[in-house]
Amino acid sequence: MRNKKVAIAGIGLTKQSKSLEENNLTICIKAVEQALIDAGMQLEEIDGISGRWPGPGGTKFDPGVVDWTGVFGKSFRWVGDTYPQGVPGILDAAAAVSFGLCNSAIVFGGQAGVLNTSKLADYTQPNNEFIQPWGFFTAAHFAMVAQVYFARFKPSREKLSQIAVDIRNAGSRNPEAVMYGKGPYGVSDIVDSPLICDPFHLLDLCLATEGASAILITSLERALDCPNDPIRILGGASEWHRQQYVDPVRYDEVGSIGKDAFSRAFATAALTPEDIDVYELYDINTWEVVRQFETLGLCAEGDGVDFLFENGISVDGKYPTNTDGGLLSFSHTGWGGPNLKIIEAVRQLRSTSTGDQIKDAETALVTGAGSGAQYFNAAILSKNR
Amino acid sequence: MNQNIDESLTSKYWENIENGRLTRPVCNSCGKNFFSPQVLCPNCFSVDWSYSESIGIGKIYSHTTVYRPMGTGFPTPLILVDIELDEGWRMYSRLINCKPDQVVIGLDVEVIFEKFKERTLPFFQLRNEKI
Ligand SMILES: [Zn+2]
Repeated sequence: MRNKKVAIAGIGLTKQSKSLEENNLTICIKAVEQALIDAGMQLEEIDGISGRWPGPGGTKFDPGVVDWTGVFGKSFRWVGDTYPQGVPGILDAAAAVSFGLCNSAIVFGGQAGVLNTSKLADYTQPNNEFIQPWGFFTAAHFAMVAQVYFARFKPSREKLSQIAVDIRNAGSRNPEAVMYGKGPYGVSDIVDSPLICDPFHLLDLCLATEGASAILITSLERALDCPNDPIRILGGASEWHRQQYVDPVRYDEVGSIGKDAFSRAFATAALTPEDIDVYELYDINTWEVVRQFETLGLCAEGDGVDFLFENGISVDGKYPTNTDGGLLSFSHTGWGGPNLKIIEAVRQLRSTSTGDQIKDAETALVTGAGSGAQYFNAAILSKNR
Repeated sequence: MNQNIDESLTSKYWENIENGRLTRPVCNSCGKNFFSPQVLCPNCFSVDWSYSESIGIGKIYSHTTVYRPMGTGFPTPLILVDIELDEGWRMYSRLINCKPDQVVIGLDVEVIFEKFKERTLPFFQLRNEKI
């Protein structure tokens, strides 16, 4: 049997907002419907699904994604439940299509009507007995990793802030970003924003928002008949170091997480990091962007802040990054949030970004998770080849 | 979420804490420390391990001062630390009895037991070098 080439044929993205007057299920279905329309396909043709069952309702059975069959009112040939979102979600779906487990799969997720009831999303503060008593939360775990880097390499706080400035200003210009119209920001806005957990200020940190997104993956052959140009998934890989937010995270263990995933992803794609036209990186905080460029090998460990300051990450920089405004300004929807990097990469490669469009972008790098979460993943997308 | 740590695995740890003793699993087969507690020793997969008393002295591996705590009842600022214990194991804790600008990676610290939200917890404080 010959494995099939696969492509992204459709994407769906609902309104992203600090809180939405819907529920998890209605918002996810909206995104799925948009992805189907975008791909010119009917639900009947979809025989694979990958999306966390978010409730309300449903069961506690595994795989939880099967609870969606009741909502869709149909059966499927393949379900993805391991990590049904973002880079791992599309890589699993691509493997399933490639190997013939299903013909067309949709990866989707999001949340709505949740953040207005509880200020803190539950995934940020697991109730672990060795974490919770101290008051740890997601940004604090990441701060523990960054603090060691800051002590060792003493990066310029002003130059680091330029990363937040560039990403946030891209969001300010993007009518679909949650933070559209806010700003523009300067370096002083970042360093003068309140310290949340040092070394991170408020404007170094990602949003917590609502909205849903969906990505439709099918064979390249089928995608060629769809209305939009197929976006190829050229390569990808993941690293799982430890379960997130349980045991202490250490720079010496996770500071270079992603190195192996990048190396495998680029080898599969037969490309190098220099070949990438646009970088959609998981910006859970500004320093994670630096860490990823260092891990990519585009600059040495400890040199990333100067390197990015000199080369630029905005639309006219050498390494355009997070062109939609990223998790800092576009949106960060918890479950489903990692999909947003893929949505923007696809839009860039189709030249339909509502953010800062990079002219003639042909290859995009998308990443997910980061050092403080103890896992990481990356995929390379391309419009040609 | 990550709620799967079996209580029978850690109840002894918390019981020891209530009695003012910081303990951690030490493998009776290979002699290694590990934390958090696991059913099997992560070094040799032996199930034969026991809680052994720690000297409660170590160094700050990393830290962050939280100025906007999440959750209720936490003081501000809140100094979170990752402690490398001298026996070669690690744990998260909070640093107390000091100011945020005193906290530096590598400083010597010692355990101090205090009540927080009606239970005893193993906090840490900076060690007085004169001792
Ligand atoms: Zn052992």
